Amino acid sequence: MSNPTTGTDRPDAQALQEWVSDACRGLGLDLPDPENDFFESGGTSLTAIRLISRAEEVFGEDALPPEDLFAHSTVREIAAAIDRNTRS
Amino acid sequence: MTSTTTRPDPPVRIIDAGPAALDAHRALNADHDTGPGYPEQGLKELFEAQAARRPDATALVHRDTALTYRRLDGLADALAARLWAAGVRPGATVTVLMERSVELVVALLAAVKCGAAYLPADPGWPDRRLADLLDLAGSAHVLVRADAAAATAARLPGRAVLPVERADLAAHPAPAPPHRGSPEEIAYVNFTSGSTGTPKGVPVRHRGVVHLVHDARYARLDEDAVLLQLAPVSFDAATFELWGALLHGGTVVLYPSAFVRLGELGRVLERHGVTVLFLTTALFNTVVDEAPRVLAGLRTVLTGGEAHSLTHMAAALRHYGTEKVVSVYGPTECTTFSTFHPVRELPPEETSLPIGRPIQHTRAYVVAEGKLCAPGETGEVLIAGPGLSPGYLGLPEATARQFVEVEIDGVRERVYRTGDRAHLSPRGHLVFQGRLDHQVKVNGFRIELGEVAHHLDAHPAVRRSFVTTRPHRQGGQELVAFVVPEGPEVDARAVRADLARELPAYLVPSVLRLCAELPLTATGKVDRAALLARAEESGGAAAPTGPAPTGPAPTGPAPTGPAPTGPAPTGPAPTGSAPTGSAPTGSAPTGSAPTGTVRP
Repeated sequence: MSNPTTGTDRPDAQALQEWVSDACRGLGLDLPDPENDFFESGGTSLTAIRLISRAEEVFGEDALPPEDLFAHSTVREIAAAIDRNTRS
Repeated sequence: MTSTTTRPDPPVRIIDAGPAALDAHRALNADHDTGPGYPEQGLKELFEAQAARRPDATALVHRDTALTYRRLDGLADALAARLWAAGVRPGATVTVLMERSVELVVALLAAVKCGAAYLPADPGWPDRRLADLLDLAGSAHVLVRADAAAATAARLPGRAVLPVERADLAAHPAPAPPHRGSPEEIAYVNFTSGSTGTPKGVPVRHRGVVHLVHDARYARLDEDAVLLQLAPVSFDAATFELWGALLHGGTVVLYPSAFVRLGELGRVLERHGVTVLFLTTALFNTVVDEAPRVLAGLRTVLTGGEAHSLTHMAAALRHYGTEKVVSVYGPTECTTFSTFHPVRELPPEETSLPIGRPIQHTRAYVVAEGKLCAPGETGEVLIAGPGLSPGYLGLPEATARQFVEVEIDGVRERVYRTGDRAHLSPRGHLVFQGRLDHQVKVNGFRIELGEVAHHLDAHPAVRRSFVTTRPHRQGGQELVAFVVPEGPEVDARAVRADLARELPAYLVPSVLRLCAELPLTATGKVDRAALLARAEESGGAAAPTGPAPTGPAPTGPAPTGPAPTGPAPTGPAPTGSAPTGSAPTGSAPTGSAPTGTVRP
């Protein structure tokens, strides 16, 4: 899995969205578009645990709090949550 | 609560047995009477004895708060005194409607100290369902956190809603009520899905809980035990997590968040030195896949709820060695765990992981057509022992059907008919082979397809429905409903949303599809395969899945809070390859149950 945080700059919004889409594909979910919704595309609370775990592996602890994912779950919103929570 | 106990002089069924069957069952049940028995005392006396013996030991940890036995006992005494003053008496049922907190544990202990049963309920359940369950259990008193008292009183009119707050209890200590407990009393009530549309209340005696954690064979439970409380409290795994620690002078650590995160799980286990953890099958698989190191420091990992995946078990053996993982199985009706299987090897000739052998004080039998099965013959699993519930609340017929008196090998005893099919392997282990009926397991939650169909068919827009399961892309099963609508204007999403207002999240199908009719097979049954194939073709059309409308719901593993809470037990159910909820993993045995339920 590629790590958009490597390198000197913060990943931009599009790179984060691509990371989310890729991570979802790795979980068997097809969300090619930023407006695709994780749960409407077949995500379950168990897949959510996996996605959150993978986000924490890459972006650090609390990168994607479950409350954020359950409240807003399109690719765009998930990427925005990761961006918000990893902004130091 | 005594209305459901067994009828007088139930008929005894004599179970015939050939020599091979007798030998195999004698070996299966040989260990049950070799150990010491369990104390014939109630939870109140046993907990208080630990509090007297180890007053300064840590009983309970929640986030940054640690309570000693003395302190926890004192808070429980103070609340019990208030409950008593509010009219709670032995035999009553006190509903505990709280998320994981110190107050939750205090509330359960306080109910027990009054001789009352606790009914652990989930604040996320729909109002009507909650009210129905309280009615079924005859519960007039509801314990909540102080900040939820007003809202709960509005949700549940006519009940006495009592707020519980630690600081308030600490400021007003009071001695416990003058009640002496007994192993015959009801400790708690769990609810399981009921095929007629109404959940079945399962009362569990103190004896059941004491036997479950005393001289446990499946894990070391003693004063050094540190158990994580992770299961939804209305899920019967919580019985093990709480009392497994508190009846031994050990420590129970409450998982700090509503929704489980693997990173946080690892930190909590390490920080508090947790020794024993129960994970539902689905969550166990997730941990093994994503973050196996999380479980590295534990002494024992218990896992169950559905049939295990051999792939994940093989990975677990590589990560953890042969001494850590124990598979457990048991229906709620028999108090959490009935059998266990330490996973030490995966013999190539075994196509599924055995559910193993009975836990302490417990017997298991495989019976088909009134005869005890010899090794290799598939029959229904019957469980006997002190874990058995006295019977379903207010359901004498269901009780008489499932709890029966049998005579096996010259011994007469009461058994619970699990509805699970199994055979004895050449190694003498029970091996799960599917269900006899339409009960399925989805994410560890035990679901009667008939309960879901009942609620769907009651919907004004639904003419007919068919509910079944199919394998989920990420493993496990998902609930799928097919609906013949009353008219062309019916919207699948709206029907699903209506269902979600009546049922807890785990009973709401993740996929609900409209169809013009239910195709039939040549034998006149609903053609499940054709419906599922059609659903595949139509791709993402119709009502797509969604998470539980109320939040992070439908995984068994998720903790309290928005998590669902199925009174689901730890029985197995198929994963992966199984075609429906009621079929086994691996090769399909013949004569397995039909695969869905339909109501005309």
